[in-house]
Amino acid sequence: MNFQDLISKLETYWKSKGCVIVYPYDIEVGAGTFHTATFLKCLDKNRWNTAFVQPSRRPTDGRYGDNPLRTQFYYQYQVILKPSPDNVKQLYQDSLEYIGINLKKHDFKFIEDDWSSPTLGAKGLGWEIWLDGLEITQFTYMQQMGGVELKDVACELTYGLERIAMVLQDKYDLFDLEWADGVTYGDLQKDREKESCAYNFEKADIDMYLNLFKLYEGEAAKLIDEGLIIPAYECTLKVSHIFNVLDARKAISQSERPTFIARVRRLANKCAQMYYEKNGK
Amino acid sequence: MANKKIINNILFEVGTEPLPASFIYSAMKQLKKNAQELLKAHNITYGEIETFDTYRRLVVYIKNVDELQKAKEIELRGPSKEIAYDDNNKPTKALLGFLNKTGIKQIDIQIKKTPQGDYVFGTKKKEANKVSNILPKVIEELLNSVSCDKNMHWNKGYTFVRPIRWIMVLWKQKPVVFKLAGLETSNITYGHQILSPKAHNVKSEKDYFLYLKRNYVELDFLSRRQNIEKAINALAMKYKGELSYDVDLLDELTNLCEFPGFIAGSFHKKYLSVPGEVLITSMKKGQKLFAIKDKSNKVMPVFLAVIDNHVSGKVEKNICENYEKVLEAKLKDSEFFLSQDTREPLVKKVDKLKNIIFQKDIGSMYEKTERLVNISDFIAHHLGLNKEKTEKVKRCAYLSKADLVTDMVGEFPALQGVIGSRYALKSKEEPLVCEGILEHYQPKSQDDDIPKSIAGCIVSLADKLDNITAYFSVGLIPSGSYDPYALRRSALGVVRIILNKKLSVSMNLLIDKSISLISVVNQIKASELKAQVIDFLNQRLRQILSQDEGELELIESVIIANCDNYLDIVERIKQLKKIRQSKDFFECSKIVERTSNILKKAPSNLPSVNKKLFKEDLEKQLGDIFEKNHKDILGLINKGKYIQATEKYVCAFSQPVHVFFDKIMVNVDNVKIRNNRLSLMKDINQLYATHVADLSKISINQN
Repeated sequence: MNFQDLISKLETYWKSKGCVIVYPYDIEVGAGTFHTATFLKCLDKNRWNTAFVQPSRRPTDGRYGDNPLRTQFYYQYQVILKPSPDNVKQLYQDSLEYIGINLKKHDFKFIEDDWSSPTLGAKGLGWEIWLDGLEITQFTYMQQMGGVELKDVACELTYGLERIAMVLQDKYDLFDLEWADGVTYGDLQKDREKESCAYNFEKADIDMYLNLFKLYEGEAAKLIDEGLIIPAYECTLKVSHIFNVLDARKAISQSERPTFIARVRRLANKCAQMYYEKNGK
Repeated sequence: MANKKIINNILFEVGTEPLPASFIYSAMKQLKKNAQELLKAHNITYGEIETFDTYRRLVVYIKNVDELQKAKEIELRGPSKEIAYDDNNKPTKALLGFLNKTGIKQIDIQIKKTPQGDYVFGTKKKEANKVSNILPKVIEELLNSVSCDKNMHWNKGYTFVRPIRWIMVLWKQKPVVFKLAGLETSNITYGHQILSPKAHNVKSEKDYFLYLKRNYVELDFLSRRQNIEKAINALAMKYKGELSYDVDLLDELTNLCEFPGFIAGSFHKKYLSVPGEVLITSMKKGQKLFAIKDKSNKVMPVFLAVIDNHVSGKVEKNICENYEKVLEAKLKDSEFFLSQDTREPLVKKVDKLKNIIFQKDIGSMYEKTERLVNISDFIAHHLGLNKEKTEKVKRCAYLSKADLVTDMVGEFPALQGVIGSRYALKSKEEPLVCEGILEHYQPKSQDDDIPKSIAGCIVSLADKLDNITAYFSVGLIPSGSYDPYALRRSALGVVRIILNKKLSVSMNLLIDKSISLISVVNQIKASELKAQVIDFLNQRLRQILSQDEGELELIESVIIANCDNYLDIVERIKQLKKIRQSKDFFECSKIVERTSNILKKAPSNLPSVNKKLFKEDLEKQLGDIFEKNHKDILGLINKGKYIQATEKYVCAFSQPVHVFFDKIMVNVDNVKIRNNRLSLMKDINQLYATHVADLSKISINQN
């Protein structure tokens, strides 16, 4: 099964379970959790089931395309089920069977992982799901978002699409994956990966990024004061990504790191609080 | 003739989504203990409790439970004898009312004496409930009693470590149905989550255990564990490797499988260039794989994976290849870190420690490094190391923290020290320097070895002492269970290294040195800080000495006298223990005790003894005896001859001191004479009590 078929299959499966299919967020994010369809919708008082692909950027994870498993840009498949249904674990296992993984023919383990995102003020309990020693999914019962305790616990399933495709296609290197017939993942992504690594690790202008951090932080704070929640949150996403680039450039010392993270979190928490006041009660 | 009892058992299973491996062992212990306590509290008699735990179920099996609660007798007090009976000894209305209310019969009552006089008493049997009636309550209490560090919600109005998805309760082989944790209990269980996912209606206890066994669930922790152990040993034997394995990993994997199976795989030899510790940690952390070492302790390019499945043939091969692929990627990552980190020699990284904070009010790791060099230099001189060795020790201190800025330690923080040492070797540092870097975090725990090399010992001492003084200087002092910087462990390490390595160090000078290097400390604070640090270290010293020597009072008296040099303390304890039962020891403690008693009310600033103020012959004589003997006694003390010093002390002072106390009034009105006499007592007291042992702190049995 090629990469694009894998995505279609997951989409078909979760659509049949009542999920609203939405589209990737158009601002750089580190994970599907940053998408408003996760971050803000988890705070909403209404039921919310959704599924979507989210391209994710993690500059420090770049390896110039040399590592078969790690890249600074990859695709997550994100599912949110709120409130979490009783059979959520079975639903997840069935989804794997649906895309062609016969779990009886693998080693399938749930490894405790208390997930948290210090930049988003988000916390959850759950697992890393390991298939033959490879983490293929993060399975989290979200308990807190933007510092707000969730009344309805949401389940977040984050599939690592490349890793699952590697199992399905029996490929050793993610760049060798078949995206479509005759087109590999590498054809589409390898140059981008190499050049992005060179940029993130070597070329990104530190002064400019430090300045951008301040500018977007100021803009977010201003928008929070003006009650424009989503634009404020989008500026926060910018701040978060800028921080990640600075981190990859080793421009932030260990001692300064917590302060930078706290600055991002403060903005995210304010957005969450405002959204919750408006839509959560 | 024995009563034939019907056998009643309770079988209780909580089915959950996968429990954290670390929680399962604690759950097993808690359930057993809590079940015992609860059954006792509810007056339920039972034979035996068994518990079973896997990642997906907690099982409590209580056998031979009596059908009825134990009847409980309650003694009730009625009216006083006077009120209960009239003049004709007939029951009054008051007594009849009591009997009526409580249901006690008149012939069963007793008259008992109480502090308030004689009263009527009767015992009432509290009605024994059927166990089946209170079982739901008991089970609920048992489930609620399981505590864990982190609980979660899952929209069922209940919290637990992970979501509870079914609860099975059988009593006398039959389901007991009630509401608990947002569910209805039943007789339904499930087999292995993947291999046998269907619900099963349990017909009996026997059926339960048999069903699980046949449906890929090994309930017993020890059986699962032994199976894994056997597999590791078999693999090690096959490769003629060392039969040793990581016990923590073994326990964890035992609790990650209900049906452990095994896969042996391998990786490319080229990765053996990656440090062995990194290989092992990478295998363990990344994929929970067991590494195999050869007889010379080198990692072999093979591994054992423990899987929650039993497979063979093509499927086995496929899983194995998957494991190998992932491992290869991780090892490739380690290789990447290795090449990044070793682009420059280790020494070039020291400057980057300026960017790493040690503690926000104290400064960076670079500043800590400077202090370590300084303290290490001081200790090396103090111990009389030659110039060449001293330079190596200083080099070791200088490089000791450099690996904190490497990518490898960023990825595997637990390998700090190990990585630094490996990189130091690659940077062509001296063997002693490399060894010292490797060892300077030791001992990491109470059972951990202390460093073998002198560089390791000195830098470890410096590091640990600096941790203590630095954190103390900004008020981060451990108390109760609060010890986030593991300073007690640091202190224990300091004491253990000094004692084991027999390092003759003056703690006064060492602590002064350490404090002098911390910039935030001012003069006044320094003496207060020093006292705190000494006291903190002494607590660990006592702990260790009392483990080895017993004799708490003796240890205390020796430490109070003088705690500058730990080796000297041990020597004094050793020698005094030899004469602990002797007449000399007894006499000596009498002298110290009497002199210290009289000094209790003395002013703290006594002038020195003035011979001209001696009035009585006896005190003149005692003064002369002190003059004549104290230098000799001090001489013996300085040579470490404590037994002889004690003998000489007793010989010199025993008789005259007692005569002095019998004949001479110390506390006379004349202040000058009084203080002069007290000064003499003080001189005699301190000659022993501040150099050998303050024996006034010891209780003596006179034989």
